[in-house]
Amino acid sequence: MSNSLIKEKDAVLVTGYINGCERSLAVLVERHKLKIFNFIYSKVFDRDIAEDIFQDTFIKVIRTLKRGVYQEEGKFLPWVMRISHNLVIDHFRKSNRIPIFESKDDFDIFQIIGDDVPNVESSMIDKQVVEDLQKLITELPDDQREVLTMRLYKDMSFKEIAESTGVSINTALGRMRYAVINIRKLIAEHQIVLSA
Amino acid sequence: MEQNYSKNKPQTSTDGPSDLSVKRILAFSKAFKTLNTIEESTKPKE
Repeated sequence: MSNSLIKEKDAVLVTGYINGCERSLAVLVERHKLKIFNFIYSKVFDRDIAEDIFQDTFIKVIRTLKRGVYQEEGKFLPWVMRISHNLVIDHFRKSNRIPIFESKDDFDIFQIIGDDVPNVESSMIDKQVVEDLQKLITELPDDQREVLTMRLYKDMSFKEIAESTGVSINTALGRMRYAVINIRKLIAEHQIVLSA
Repeated sequence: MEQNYSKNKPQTSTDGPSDLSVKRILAFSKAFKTLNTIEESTKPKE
């Protein structure tokens, strides 16, 4: 590569290339390739895709320069960066996705930015689960339904349930056990999924 | 406890494009020039 060209400014090289000097383009690519490639890679995080976009960028540069529509304003690099930026956007539009950060080691971005507020979907599922469970409870025998309701919805202890219903703690525990067994049977019969 | 996440930052600097990418660009440029030259020379003169 000619040493004299290496010292030339971008504007001089661009003019030289438009006038047919292929070596001027080689100098421009060599001079700016790292900055442009790293810019593209910082957006796509994929070496192969970055290589493709880098090549496409310079193909656009070559076509524009050779068509004679490039206006030299001493801003060759910003212009090329803008082309590569547009191609990166095109890439994401075509692939219909946004850049994905892959978790490395034990780092997970969602551990930092995640919140505990349920989204609309999980709220609806939770509501559905509660409604399904309530329907199943109505199908239980009275004594079992009574114990289950007191335990689940009134948060009563088995001692309190026993005192309230006039039975022993063991009986209350037994009714609760049968209530759970019967609920499981009803879930299987109705093929209900009780999970969010 | 404050955690240091800097080591987990995605790597954004590379050693640049491959030589093959650069060669392809320069080859495209030469081919483009050759085609343009042929096109110019075969244009009917007015």
